[in-house]
Amino acid sequence: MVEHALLPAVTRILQRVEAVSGLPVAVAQEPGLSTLATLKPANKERQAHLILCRQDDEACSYHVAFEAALLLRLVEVPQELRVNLTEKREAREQVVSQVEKLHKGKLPLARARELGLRFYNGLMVQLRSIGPGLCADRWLFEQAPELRGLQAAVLQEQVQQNVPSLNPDIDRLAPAAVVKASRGMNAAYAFQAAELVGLPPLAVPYQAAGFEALARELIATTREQATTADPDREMIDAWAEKLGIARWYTWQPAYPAEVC
Amino acid sequence: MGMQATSFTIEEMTFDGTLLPEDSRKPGSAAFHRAVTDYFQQAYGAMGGRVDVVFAHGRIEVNWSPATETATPTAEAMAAITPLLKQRRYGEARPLLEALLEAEPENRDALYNLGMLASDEGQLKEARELLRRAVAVDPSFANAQVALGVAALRDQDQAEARQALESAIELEPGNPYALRTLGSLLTAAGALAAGAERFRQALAVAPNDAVASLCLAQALLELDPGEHRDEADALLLRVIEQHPFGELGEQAKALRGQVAARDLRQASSNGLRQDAVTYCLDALRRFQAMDHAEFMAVISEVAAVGQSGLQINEPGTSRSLKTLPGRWSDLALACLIHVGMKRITPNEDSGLGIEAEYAEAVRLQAVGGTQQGPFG
Repeated sequence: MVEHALLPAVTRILQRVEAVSGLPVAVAQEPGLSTLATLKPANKERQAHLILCRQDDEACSYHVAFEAALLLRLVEVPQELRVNLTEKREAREQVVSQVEKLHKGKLPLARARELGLRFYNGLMVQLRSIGPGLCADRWLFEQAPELRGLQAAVLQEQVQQNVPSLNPDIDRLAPAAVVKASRGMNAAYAFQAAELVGLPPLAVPYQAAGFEALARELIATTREQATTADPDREMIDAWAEKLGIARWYTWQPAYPAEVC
Repeated sequence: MGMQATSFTIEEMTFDGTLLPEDSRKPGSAAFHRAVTDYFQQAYGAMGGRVDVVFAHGRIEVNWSPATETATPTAEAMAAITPLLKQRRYGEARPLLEALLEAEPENRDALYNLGMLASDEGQLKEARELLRRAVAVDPSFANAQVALGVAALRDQDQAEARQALESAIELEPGNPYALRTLGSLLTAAGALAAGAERFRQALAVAPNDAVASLCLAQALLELDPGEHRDEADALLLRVIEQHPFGELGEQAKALRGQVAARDLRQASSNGLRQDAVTYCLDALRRFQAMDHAEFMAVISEVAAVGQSGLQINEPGTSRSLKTLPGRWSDLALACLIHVGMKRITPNEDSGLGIEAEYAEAVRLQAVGGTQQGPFG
């Protein structure tokens, strides 16, 4: 368990998730985590949701709150309708093949393939997480004002970490469609962060690079009223359309019939 | 809250022209450069601080840094020079630093930065002279001591290097760069245990320092490969995870290859591990019977599994693959990867330490060897 005490606002959110899902939520520190925090929803083997944090510090409270907000969105979808975003082999292979061409003669084929898989998988992770993440950030801004100081620091840090993705050298390393979609999502993140934090210059790099219109369209999608029982899936599909990657993935039931 | 300093680069061609006056939208033109500079000055204007916009090779480099309360002319000059140093634009930074030093010969930051620059450019005599002056001006300047140690080490002067690095550590016992560099000096001089101890201290302060991890692994393997094998292997795996495509990752993979080769040789009496020969032979046959698409599907899946590390000397390991039936030990998977890589790039070694077994399998296949495959 984390030793740094979670702020009362975070405990409140965790209790809400437990009430909606009917299952406990455990929070633990895992120093080896590759991301700042991650969420492991309950499954057949583990009848508790698990939120893992890489560091046990003050910012950990915000990361836990953020993962809990995402979890709340997840458990509000009826279990039989829950789905996982899954790779589409043809799309994956197309990205890999483009990367192999870009690096022909410069990287061994196996290495280029590995790089291509990373680009494809990374883009799918972004697609799955950034849209719902924007909703979670906004929800926390409204529901837990006492976390706003931490939120501002975390959002600003994240925007700063994303900015190097605009570097023109990236265009020579990765397929254009991957780069454009990824930058578009980062731009949406930056424009919303700029608004929540009250620092418009945070979005300046993306405005200068011509991503403002796309970013605002993506943000608008996250504010639309959902028409189905799974708002995240609906939003991700809409983002994928706008980003030109609609046929790059499929949805698979999270709980196959025999498990339910 | 305040905004952190930021810097980024975009191409002139990708700048959103609609943000500029109509007569200033032609990339590369003086009007475009003026208008882009005005745009950024205005965009960051409300934040105060300083905006630098540089146009070079069709790119726009933007640096914004917040205002400092006590910005002296010297501090402002250093603020302008620092981004150039970070981008290793030494040709532009050097004359500015030299001018600053002419005006203030005892400016320790100018001495330090010009010394570092000269050291990076290979001007080692000049670097050492400047860094000695920096240390003389401020004997408590640990970073200058470290830089002097590095420059002296590059100039083959181990005595001055050691003295400077030890001084730096005395000033800052937790300076990871000083600890790591002293570790390198000691191991190069043959003091492997002492060097390893410095690398450990460096890693205690900076656990993600991949260079220190790699150096410690190297030192441990030289010290006693039998005793330190597992610790070294764990360090190398961490380096590969941190730098999968960089030079450090390549060095770590090469070292792991040596470890694996040693493990394999030790496990066999005749110098070849027969189970690995059998697995390689089986992989050769399987791949021969596949078309290119099937082969690529298998090799990409196996390579992905191998990314997380294979324990080739653990007989208990058993995994399943989507693209091939049966259960697979990590050694069998390593053989699949090695044979697959050989098929794609025949002149490269996978670094898994199976090259000799692979060669034997190829020989057996050529003479019509009849060894049974693992599932045959």
